[in-house]
Amino acid sequence: MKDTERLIRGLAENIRPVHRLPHPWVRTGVWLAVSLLYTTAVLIVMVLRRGAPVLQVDTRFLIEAASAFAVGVIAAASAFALTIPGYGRKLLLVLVFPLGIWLGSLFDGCVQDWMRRRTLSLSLHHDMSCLPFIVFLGLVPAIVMAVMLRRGAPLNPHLTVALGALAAAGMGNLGLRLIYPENADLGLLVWHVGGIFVLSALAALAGRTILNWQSITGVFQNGGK
Amino acid sequence: MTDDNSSDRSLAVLMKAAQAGDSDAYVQLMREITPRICNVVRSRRRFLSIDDVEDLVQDVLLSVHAVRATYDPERPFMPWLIAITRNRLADAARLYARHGAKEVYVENLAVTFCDESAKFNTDEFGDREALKVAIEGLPAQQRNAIEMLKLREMSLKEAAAVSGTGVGALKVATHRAMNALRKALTKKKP
Repeated sequence: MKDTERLIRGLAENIRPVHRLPHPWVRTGVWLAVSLLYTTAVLIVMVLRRGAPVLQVDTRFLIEAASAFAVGVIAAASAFALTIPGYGRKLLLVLVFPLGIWLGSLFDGCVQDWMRRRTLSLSLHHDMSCLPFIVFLGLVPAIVMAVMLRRGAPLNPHLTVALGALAAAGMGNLGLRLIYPENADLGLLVWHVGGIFVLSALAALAGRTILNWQSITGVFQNGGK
Repeated sequence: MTDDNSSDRSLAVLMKAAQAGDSDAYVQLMREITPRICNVVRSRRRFLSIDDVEDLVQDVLLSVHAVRATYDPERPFMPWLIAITRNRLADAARLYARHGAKEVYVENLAVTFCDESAKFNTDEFGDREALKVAIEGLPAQQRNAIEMLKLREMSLKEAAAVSGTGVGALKVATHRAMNALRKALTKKKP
């Protein structure tokens, strides 16, 4: 144990005060503030260039928007909570409820669309063009999320990054729904929601590249005491 | 139960002080948690040698150091520590499985080869004074690397922690220093 004693002394010699990480909900609030600021700025620019959209604010749209917002917030809080050692995972269960309501509201829109038109059409080109907007609107929230997550412990890199991406892409989608209001149909369900889940899955694959023990102990070893 | 609670509380207090930069509290904390981490590692990896257990314990200590900002003194300390320990154990097992799949195990042959030249250690330099002079002639970074890793026999992790440089930089400095020493000492040989 002589080596361990030497390591402890080496670590203690270089120790500096650290800023304690705030509670996951506080961090979620910070992330949300930055994300909303960015989304609002992009939406203002788009409204100035293309004109104000005509929003059909009905109950179904409000439920969809509120549940999508809740998914983003709870996914972000869950991602932050996962980087705190010993913190419970109950938030992941809570996430199921808004996710269910969100998907349910979109599915309900699809059914109503089908009842109205008696056909389930999948507008490929139109709806695929939405995906780059989701990526663009979610880009800054995603970068901020990644930077904030890297301050925590990389305990579950894949799940943490997937939840972070879900939160960021969810916010991007919400912004897009406000600027491009359209009826909830199968195309929206497939391209918007499918796109969000594909982005989250891709982020999950890169989880260990973004969050890993080697990089954070490397920061310490390279002088970041 | 009360002992456990008070022990947990005292560790939480030490960590709070360490987060504020108190190095004495930090040393005390690390010394107190080392046997606990060791017990967890031993109980979960009974097949490991003492050296491997110590390596894992050091990994956990480094991780605790790196993420000490994530500890909230209002919460219990041991669940926080155990979560890191278990995660590092799983991480080590994953890395072992990945590297193990690429390794080919061969028998460690104690005998030398038939070729006469293979039986002699050509890396031996008898002139200690010349070696000392050659080491002193190295650039500061290379000299420090040689002193820590070869003369004081510190591990890469320890040397990196003490010097504040990265493991990669230390490896490069050592490699260059060894080449420079080999050249310097070979030139001086008649």
